[in-house]
Amino acid sequence: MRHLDPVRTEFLVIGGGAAGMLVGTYLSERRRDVALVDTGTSCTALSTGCFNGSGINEDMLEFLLPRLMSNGLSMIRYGEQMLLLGNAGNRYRCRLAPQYTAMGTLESMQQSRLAVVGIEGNSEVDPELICSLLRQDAGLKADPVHISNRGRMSLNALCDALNQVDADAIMLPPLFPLRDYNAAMLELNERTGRIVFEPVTPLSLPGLRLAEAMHEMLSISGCRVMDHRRVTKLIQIGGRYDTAIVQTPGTTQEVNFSTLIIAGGSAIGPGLSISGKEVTDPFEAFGITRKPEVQGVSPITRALSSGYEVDGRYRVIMSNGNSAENVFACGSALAGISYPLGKGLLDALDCAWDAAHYAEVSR
Amino acid sequence: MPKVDVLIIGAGVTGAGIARDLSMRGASVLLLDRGDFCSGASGANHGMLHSGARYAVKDPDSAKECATEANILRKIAAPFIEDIGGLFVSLPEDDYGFAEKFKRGCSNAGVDARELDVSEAREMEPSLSGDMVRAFWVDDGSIDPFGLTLANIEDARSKGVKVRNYCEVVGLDVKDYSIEAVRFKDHRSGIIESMNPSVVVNAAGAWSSSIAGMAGQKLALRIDKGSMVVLNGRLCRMLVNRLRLPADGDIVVPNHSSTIIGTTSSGVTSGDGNSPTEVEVSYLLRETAKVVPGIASARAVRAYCGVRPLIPTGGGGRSASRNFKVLDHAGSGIDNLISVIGGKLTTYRLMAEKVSDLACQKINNNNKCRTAKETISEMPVIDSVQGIHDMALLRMAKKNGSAYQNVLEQCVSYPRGKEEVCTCERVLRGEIQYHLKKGDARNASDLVKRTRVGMGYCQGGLCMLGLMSAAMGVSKTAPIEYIDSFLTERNKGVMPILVGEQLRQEMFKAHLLRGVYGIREESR
Repeated sequence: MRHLDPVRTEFLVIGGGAAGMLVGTYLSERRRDVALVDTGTSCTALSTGCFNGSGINEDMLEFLLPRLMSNGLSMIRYGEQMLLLGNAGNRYRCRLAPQYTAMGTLESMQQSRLAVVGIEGNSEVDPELICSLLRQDAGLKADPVHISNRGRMSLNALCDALNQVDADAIMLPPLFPLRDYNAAMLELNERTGRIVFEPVTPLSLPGLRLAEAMHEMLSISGCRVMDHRRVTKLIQIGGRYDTAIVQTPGTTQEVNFSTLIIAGGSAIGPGLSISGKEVTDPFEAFGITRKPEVQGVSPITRALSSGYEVDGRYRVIMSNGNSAENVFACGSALAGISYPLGKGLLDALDCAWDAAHYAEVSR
Repeated sequence: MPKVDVLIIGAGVTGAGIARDLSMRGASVLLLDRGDFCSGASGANHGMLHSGARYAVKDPDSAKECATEANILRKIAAPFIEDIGGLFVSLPEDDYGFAEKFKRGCSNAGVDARELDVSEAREMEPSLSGDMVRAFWVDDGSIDPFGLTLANIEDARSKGVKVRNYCEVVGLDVKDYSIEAVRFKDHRSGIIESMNPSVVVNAAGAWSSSIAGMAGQKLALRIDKGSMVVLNGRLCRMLVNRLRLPADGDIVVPNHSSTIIGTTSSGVTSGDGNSPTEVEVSYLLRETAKVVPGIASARAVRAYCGVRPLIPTGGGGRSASRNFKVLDHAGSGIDNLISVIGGKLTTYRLMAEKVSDLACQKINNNNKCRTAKETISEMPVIDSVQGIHDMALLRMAKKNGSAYQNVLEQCVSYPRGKEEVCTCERVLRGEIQYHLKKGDARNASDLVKRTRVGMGYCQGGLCMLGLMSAAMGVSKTAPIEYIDSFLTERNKGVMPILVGEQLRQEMFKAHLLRGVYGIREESR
């Protein structure tokens, strides 16, 4: 194991998902000295790339949305009537989603003819499945279309193929990475004269695009990003944490900090540990809130609803019951953010926004 | 009221075997089950073809029956049997002298058993523990109970038997010491129908007491729960038994793409509502790992339990005989009711023969049993098919036996029939559609039994959308209901094994299927 020279930062953020990147960007733009440690693919990258949640924090969105847009991802606010379609034929109501994700309101959809396009070799959209469910459940006029894909299809060839499709709106699997997304989708919409849109597909490009756009935003902010590393240990002196041991498979490094923000996510990812059936704190320092183990509550539910407990200023409660002076936690690392299921990213972002503000003024 | 010679209640392997046997003797038969085929003990067992060795010491009659019947099944049901051979292995903590009793017992019962050097045993089965003290080779094998039962049903159907699943018997109308009408509810249509049978056969397994009760008959039964755990991958080449008196955690069976360890034995009050417990799972893992140490680091993918309908004796579940009993209720006031209890998967054919003999006697049918000679299903010839992996073809052949060509036809002729829906078990879209078209399968759990879809390493975590898609246009049931029933069933098996990384993966699947796709709301 190679020992790298220790580094010093004012704020250390653990976690490169939506919550951590928002905190890192905010503090860096406030001209603070920030380092962010990130293990790799975040749950944000596996998400649907849409924003849903119990409330909307306007200040947070006012900060986030323009920054996403300038990095190639325009998020649109959808009204209550707007429907998004999932690749399991399911329907979403979503507060904010990338442009080219919605086809219209249920009413407008019911009056149009929809074509669901499957592209050979792409298994994300199964046209027969989606059409059948949409016809059955939503009463839509939807027909499957298959486009063969010999070699690499150019945008021109795709346009030509879509022009042959007899429909008012076309659902296309997510095909374009962030750098091409807006331009390609705009061109397809204009050249075909139809609404060309993507379904909501988790574990796919939309989540990656969101993660990539947020990563761009973070890099531009000046935050020091320590990629593909893990914080394995926290060290305290006199009750105050001030050092993190940061490791890669071959290296180890001490990072000294004044303030720590934990945004490593829930136990779905590597953010929290699991020991037996219990979710635990990987740093063995902070308290974890769990549901009591009672008959009828599944271990999955218990684990999903477990996480760090924080005080009113997002300071982590330590194992001894006191608030840690300079350690904050936010995002789905907090108990109650990942569960009940399906709450979406907004709750994680909202608490990250608040935690960043409290951390900023902490001493 | 429509008439039939014999009405059989219970489409487990025994009921299916009786239906086939009777049809071969020319009787008209109706076979009913309140749920799907194999929904009791026939669908929740080890899948072990007993050489008889396990019972050689305590239960020599069962041992003899197993030895004879296993050899018959090898001839008549070849596609569903893997002749992997078995070992009996003792550890330092076991009674050293038991081996002598074992040797004697096997020899008396006509069970082939040969003592091996420890080194010889390890060469045959490298996964065995270094602590092994004594070892015997026996002729155990594994058997696919779903394939076997379905093949019996299909063959019976081809001989004129009417087979209806999801038809629950709701009443037996007795008049003049005889069952005059069997009333049953078809859960598909909700309609109650009546049938006038000459003979009623109660082959309802753990539920046979309540069937007998409908005719005012008392049927003493010991319902015994046995739990098993499915581990990822084949962890040994041969079937491994512990060389001691039958106890919990004795058996390791490599089967299809996995290894099944078991079993436990505990009395329960009903065939319904049982599930394996975490205590049982950890006991089984600990105990079997003593013999096959690799189990300690294996990943458990699922746990399940079955209910043995045992003949009640003085002692507990392990001391109860694995013999079967054919009960003629004529002695207790119902002339045309026969119940069958006890027995084993390996001896199902013999049970069916004895029941059929008695039923035929009651309807004055003098034809003799032919099931020991005539094959149920032949191993098909497998030719390569473009676009389908040879392994998928082999699996398809072993699951379907003689029906292989028909299943393959569906895969080849349907536009996307060759696509793999379940990559763990290499199940093709066409296989799903074949079984949906037959009309017996009502939900995803039924399809699991017929095709093994979702039974592999990932336990259907991520292939459910493919299954839904394959069901499109073929099934009347809304696909989302397929998923729902599947997840409910699956969760029962997965809950007791959720520890560590396994729990993390299940959290992720729950997040994906329920949280993201909204396929099912978490109930609590």
